[in-house]
Amino acid sequence: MGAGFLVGVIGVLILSHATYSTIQYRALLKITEEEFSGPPIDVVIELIVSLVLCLWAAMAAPGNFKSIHPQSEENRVVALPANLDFMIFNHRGKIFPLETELKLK
Amino acid sequence: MLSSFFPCHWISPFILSILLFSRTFMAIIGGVIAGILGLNSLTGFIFYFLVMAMTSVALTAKAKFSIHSYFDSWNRILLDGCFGGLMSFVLFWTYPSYVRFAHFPPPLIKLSELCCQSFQVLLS
Repeated sequence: MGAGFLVGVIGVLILSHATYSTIQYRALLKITEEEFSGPPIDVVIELIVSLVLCLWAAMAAPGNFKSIHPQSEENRVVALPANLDFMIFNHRGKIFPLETELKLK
Repeated sequence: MLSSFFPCHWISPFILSILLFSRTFMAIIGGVIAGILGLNSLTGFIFYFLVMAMTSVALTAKAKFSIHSYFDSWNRILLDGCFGGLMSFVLFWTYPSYVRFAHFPPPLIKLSELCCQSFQVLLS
């Protein structure tokens, strides 16, 4: 989580700097009585850089995807029936006759 | 035999929360950027769906372009959370416009006046 989170913090900091620059630019436009058509080019570059950094953070920070296939290499499903410690034989099923011809399918 | 005990395409809620986190975060950042750029009505929504498309491509790249080993369908990556993030986007998109006009919107002015009056009544 560390590196992705740090990248996100840097992206948000650049974004807040761009916001501050835009507020100053708008104040300047109010003095010179011009219309706002878009922020200056350096602010636009800052916005693009922060968008890319935040996209990276949004991918890296929350964690990795896990495979949904039980047979996969990175599988983390612990198969309970395969674990002999959890098998119970002392239950009411023992009064039924044992079907030895039963086949697992 | 194991696959008959366990459903194959079971997706952990944790993975869905990863998707939701990415979507919401990108919606908020996109909203702030649209507000700074000063985008208007339809342009802002087009910008939102561009950002969401970028997020979808990035999520696909994160899943190493093999969607079906991580998700049950393409909709998980392409659509999930798109319209939920729209609310966050609009919130952060319109907030800078309040800052831009440098005064409170009228309902908030009424509310603050009401608060001041009630405080005065309480203090007297």
